Amino acid sequence: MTISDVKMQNLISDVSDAILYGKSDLDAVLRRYNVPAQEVDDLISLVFALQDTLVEVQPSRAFQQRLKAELIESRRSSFVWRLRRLPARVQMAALAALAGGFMLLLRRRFVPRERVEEIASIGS
Amino acid sequence: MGLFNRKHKKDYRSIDDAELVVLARDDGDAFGELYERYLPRIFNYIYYRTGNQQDAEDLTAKVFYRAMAHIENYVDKGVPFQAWLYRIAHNLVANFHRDQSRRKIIPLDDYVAHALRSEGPDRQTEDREEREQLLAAIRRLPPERQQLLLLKFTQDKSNAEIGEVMERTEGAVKSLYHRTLLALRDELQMQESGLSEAQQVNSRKKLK
Repeated sequence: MTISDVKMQNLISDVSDAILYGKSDLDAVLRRYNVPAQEVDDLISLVFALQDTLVEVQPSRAFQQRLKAELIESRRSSFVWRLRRLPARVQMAALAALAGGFMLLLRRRFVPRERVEEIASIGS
Repeated sequence: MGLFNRKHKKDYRSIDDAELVVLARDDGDAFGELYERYLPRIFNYIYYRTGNQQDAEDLTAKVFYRAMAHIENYVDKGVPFQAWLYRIAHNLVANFHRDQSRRKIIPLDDYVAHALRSEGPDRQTEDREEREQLLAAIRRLPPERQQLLLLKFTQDKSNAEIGEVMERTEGAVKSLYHRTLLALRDELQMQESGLSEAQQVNSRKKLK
């Protein structure tokens, strides 16, 4: 990349800031870079056109409110969110019940063969 | 109060993004404040990238649903929350365009009519055509260049802020911005000179 490329990039950036934010006078920027206006006239015109065309658009108030309500509702209906809203003692009881159930499942899964046969023989 | 429930009675508007994100994991009001802060910007970005209000609303909703679902996984590693949101939006828009068999053109009726209300009818038509041409040219640019222009012109972001969103250095943003303006200028000149569609496609390939 040549020096003039970097200089041009900085110039265009500063010119754009001057146009968009009114940070400084456009002529002052061009003087600072010592570049004839006609060399960058087309790009300056383009920046003005972009500023004019790319205007901020706003979502409708109805959309904003509807989406917010939907987000809140979906959050409330999620399991994790509900769990978090439970009182501490209920959360503890739920966790204990879950842990107990899990242990029970594990125990049933690993019952020794002799015990299974013993249980089966009781039935017969 | 629940084990996982830490309700903060705070004035959310005075809290910065990083703290709000932490609160928002448990607290819907904190997420609501983030939503209020960034909904208009995200909508604006998506509106220009998709070209119509309905698609913009659908995709904006998806962005916030996704953000809400994954906010627990968001870790501030130097990437601001808003940059994270823009990335979600960017990815969804990219998927949207992939799914579309053809692109639509932005309906300018609302805001162009508003902007030109004080001018005469001939001038209005001329300006409107110029703006439509410019918008069409913008939408033919590669996505990252469109993103840069939208962040700069509709969101008033500095090069440094754009760099944060796009994961580029400030210098790289300046360079990309310059190249984008040159490409846009050449594109508009091609349109004005009345090159055939095939010639324009060839020239665009060279420009990119």
